Amino acid sequence: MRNNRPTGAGNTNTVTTPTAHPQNLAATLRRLLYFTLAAVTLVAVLASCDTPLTTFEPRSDATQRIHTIYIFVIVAASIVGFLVLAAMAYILWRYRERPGHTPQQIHGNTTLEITWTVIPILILIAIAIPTIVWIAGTTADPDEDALHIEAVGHQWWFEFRYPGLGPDGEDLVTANELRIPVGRQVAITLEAKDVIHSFWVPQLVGKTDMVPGRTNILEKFTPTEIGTFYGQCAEFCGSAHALMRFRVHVDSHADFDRWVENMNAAPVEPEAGSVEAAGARVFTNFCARCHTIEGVSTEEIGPNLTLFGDRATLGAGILDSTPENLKAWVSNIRDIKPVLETTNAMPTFYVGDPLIDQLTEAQVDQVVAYLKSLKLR
Amino acid sequence: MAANIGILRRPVSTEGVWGWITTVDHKRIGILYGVSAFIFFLIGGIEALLMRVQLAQPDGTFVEAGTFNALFTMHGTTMVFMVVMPAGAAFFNFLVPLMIGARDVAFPRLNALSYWLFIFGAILMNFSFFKAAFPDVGWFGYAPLTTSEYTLSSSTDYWVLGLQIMGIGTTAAGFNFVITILNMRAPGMTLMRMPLFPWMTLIVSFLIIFAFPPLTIALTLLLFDRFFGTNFFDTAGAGADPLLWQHLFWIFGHPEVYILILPAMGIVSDILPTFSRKPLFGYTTVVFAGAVIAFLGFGVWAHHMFTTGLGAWATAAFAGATMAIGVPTGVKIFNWLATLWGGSIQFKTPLLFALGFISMFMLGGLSGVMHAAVPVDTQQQDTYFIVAHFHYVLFGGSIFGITAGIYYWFPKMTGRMLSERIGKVHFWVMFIGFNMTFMPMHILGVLGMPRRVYTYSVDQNWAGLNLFVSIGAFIIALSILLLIINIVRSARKGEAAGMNPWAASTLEWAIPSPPPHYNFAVIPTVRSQHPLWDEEANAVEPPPLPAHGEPHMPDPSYWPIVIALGITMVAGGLLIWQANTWLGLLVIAVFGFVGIRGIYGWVFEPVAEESAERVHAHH
Amino acid sequence: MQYVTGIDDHRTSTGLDNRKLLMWAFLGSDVMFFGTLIGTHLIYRNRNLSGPQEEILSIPITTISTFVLLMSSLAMVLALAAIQRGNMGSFRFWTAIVAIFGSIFIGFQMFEFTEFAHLGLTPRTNLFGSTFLVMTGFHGTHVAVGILWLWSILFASYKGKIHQGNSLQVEIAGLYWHFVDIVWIVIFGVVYLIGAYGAEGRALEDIPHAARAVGIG
Repeated sequence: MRNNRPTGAGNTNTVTTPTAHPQNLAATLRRLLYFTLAAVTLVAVLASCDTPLTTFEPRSDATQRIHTIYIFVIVAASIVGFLVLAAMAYILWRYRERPGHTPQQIHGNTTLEITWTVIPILILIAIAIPTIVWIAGTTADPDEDALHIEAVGHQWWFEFRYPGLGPDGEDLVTANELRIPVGRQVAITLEAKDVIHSFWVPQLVGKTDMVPGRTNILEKFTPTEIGTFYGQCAEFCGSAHALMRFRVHVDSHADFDRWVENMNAAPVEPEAGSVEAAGARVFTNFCARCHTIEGVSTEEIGPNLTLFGDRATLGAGILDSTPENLKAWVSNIRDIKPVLETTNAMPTFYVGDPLIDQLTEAQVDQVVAYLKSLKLR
Repeated sequence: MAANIGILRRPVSTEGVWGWITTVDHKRIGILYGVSAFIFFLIGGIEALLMRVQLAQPDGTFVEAGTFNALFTMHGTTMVFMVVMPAGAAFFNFLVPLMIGARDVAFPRLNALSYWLFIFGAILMNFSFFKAAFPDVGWFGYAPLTTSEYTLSSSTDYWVLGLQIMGIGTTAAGFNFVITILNMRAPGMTLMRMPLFPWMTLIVSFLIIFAFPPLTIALTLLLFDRFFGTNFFDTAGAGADPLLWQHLFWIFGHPEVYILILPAMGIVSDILPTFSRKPLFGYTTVVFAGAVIAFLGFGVWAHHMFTTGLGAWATAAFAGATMAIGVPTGVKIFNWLATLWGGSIQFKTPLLFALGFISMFMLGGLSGVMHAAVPVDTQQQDTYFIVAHFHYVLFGGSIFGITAGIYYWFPKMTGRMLSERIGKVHFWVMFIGFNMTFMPMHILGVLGMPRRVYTYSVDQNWAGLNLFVSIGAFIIALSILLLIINIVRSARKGEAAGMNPWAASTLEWAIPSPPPHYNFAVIPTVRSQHPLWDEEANAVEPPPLPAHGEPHMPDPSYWPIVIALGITMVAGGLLIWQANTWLGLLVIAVFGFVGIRGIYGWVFEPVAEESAERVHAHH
Repeated sequence: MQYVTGIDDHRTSTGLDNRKLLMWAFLGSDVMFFGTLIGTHLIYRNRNLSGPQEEILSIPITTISTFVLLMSSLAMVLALAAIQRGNMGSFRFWTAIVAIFGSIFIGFQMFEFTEFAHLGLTPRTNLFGSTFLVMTGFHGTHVAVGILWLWSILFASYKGKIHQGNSLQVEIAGLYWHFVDIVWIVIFGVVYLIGAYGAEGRALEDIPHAARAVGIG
């Protein structure tokens, strides 16, 4: 019978001998840490150039507030993380197995343990305070002159309604490209038609889910800069979730007012005999079953296409709105987006197979020309 | 009294395949769990690699959207329910009776039933691949996307039923380990002398029995909606609230996170003392920190729902609770470091993985605190930052901890050592691969990449980082290959382990490796937390068998697998019913009968005739 | 003989039998099970008022069935006391009474469900139908399992497999039975009584009252 009371290296009952050299280990750990930190910083700097969905370049008062807290928690967490890792590296190096070193049989130390219970509590309170203040701030009523918008999530596109800005005081409706004026508070309510989606424009406002059967209130925000910003559905919502994107155009007040005015006017009749005129007929016969163009059609199954010619993108923000892309889209949406053949989904119009085709290639070209002609006056 | 009530005679043999099918030995069941978990780990890993190939470049065309959605759904479901949980169960089964000085668990046949329900449920869910398609609704299956209105395919039915069956098995295992640990400890093994691993097992078992019922209900309600037209999640027609699902799921789901991590914490808490050659620092604190984490774990579920419009008060309360849970977690980390402090640290492979656990889990915890700050969460929720966070917790935490456990207890389980040299290479490759894969995901999250997207475009500018991440994923795969090589090598020419190769202090090291089927020839009496360090009486040589020979252990039984088959095939019948009413009803009736017959057979099961004679001979 | 533990001796750390502890653990888990169902019902209460609602619940009828179930618990106590004394005749009598009372309760429930179906309330009708019927249905299933269990015990007692020496079997079944009973008291209080109170304001004339339909109340 042998006593196995633990001792130092001289008397361990081990089968293999250690092959790692602890000094090297500690050094390796440290080098790894420096390398990681350096790499992370480098990558962050490099990647933040021109990433349209970055959360680190706030362009509204709301994201600016979040950003301040974000940086604070990152710094706090990094300091804690670094200190603990450094302490760990030191301990591993200092108390590595060495001849003649006897491990101290300590069972605990109440003072120490209370200390390292209290310190995290203090750090967490420091994080909790701005959090609670921020939450309290979100309950404030919108400004009196705030622009009210209802955003509705559909599989897989966004509908935007501006109550009272449409013809005869009704809703002004657009889709996938939200236009808002700079420097004016925007108060958006969120709904969903089918499943849960999430509304998110990283540079302008944090995300809030769009839940069917509920009306959620997005944090109020005031854009501080004119420009175009990327939005994205952030809650998994089915096959084409990845392709449910949108844009937000922050305009000057004059541009915004002009846009609203144009949205309320019927498009100019295309010249008789022109390609656009032919396209308008195709639109009325086919597209109008689902799509609205102000003054032309009224169905709201698919996205509203008023002033479509001025949109930068098509297909819920996934493609540049070039004639080629638009032609591909109208011809066969399923080449671009994983959409099933359900009642509310856009049909396949032209694949070169007479059994399937509803339109000829010429008709597709005509409707593309027509849609591209729907521009601001 | 050997009246043959069952149609099946009670089996006697422990040999061959039937020996494994009918086994009720906790060690064999542990090995079954472990091997199954490892196979599913490879499957889930391959699913991850396929996703990484698709995302390695913008506008990837390697898989289609539907396939990708199925891949991330199955990757998540597999890793949570078919890998980390059963891997935990493998350790519970093999080690807990050994560590508390018991011959088996409290209910050996129930234990076998748990395993068979787990494996049948897992197979049923994966079977969807051959009948319909893999489920593609995400591992937390948010309603109403999962209702038949939005998911026509029966793949979601497989997901619901597979999870349900695995859940029943898990709950049964939870009962078993609560009773085993509370009631089956060796004389003198008070609760506060137990090693940390059985302690964490006890806490996890309590979490299981309280957290799984809400999931069971949630799945049942969804099942009724899909099969019988009830309205629980019918938002459009009946005005149901889709957040009901989220509440029910996360009331289960957050304790589940601790079900996944606490076993690893237990493993690490037992490994650190062995390799620093000193007792765990603040044993009582570490135990109670675990209990506090578990308790608070039931009060933080809505932090998964900060962006759903809960209202300011609820949001603030759950944010506070979530931050509070960081405290006991931090305390544990400090106590582990203090355990190393002043020790004589031996850098063996199990310790390396345990250190990997502490450092990586801590990083995961710190990013977790970031999401507790609600404003920050509105920018992080559902992005790759979250993906990074929970992989630091569940891979950097659970998987590193479990791997530490594999290296530590493999000698006990098989009698052979794993190679230290390959083990160390394995560690460093996995550590580097892990950080290459998941560290950049934080940045991708900061740059706005949402999770669960099957593609992204060039103008979003995430390409470089994604390629880097994908390379990292393959380095992880390489490290798993090294583990396989190590195990195969050990099976062929591993050194004999002996009873206590690490000079550890706990009871499982006082018996031969691998342990005899009765574990302890004589049940030891325990007088300290570290019986093999503090006492000579319990040291290395096992006492001889008592005069009357081997202790009598429970006979094998057919009934666990029969009942599990009955339950699983009733679920199968439901699936068939969707396509063919009468055939489905027939299958349900037949296997419902098999299941009920199995229960009666179980209840009135006699001992095997052979062992009945043996027992008689002794008395 | 039956295996309970793998150990030769039946000593346990707490002194409680493993099976009894198992039943307690199971009941703890079942609290969460029914808590979730009742919670779901309460969350959805009055959320969508189309179709029949709580006003069709009949307090008088359910009071009777609740009383029967309560009495079955009393009989269960007497059955356990009898077998612990070794009085098998009395044990069998009271056990049969428990099972019969339980069956009467199930009968009431089946009547209630059928009546509701006539009044146009099924699990598919509306949220109330879904939550109420699934919740009480699961409770009824628990009662049914208990009845099956008690008949099995009764049957086994004639075969000599249940006797004074293993009255623990009866005690465990009793724990289960009392628990299911308590769950019903909660459902009766929270769902029926509060539900009926909440429904007072609504027009009772519009929807035929279940109790009126059968001439009671």
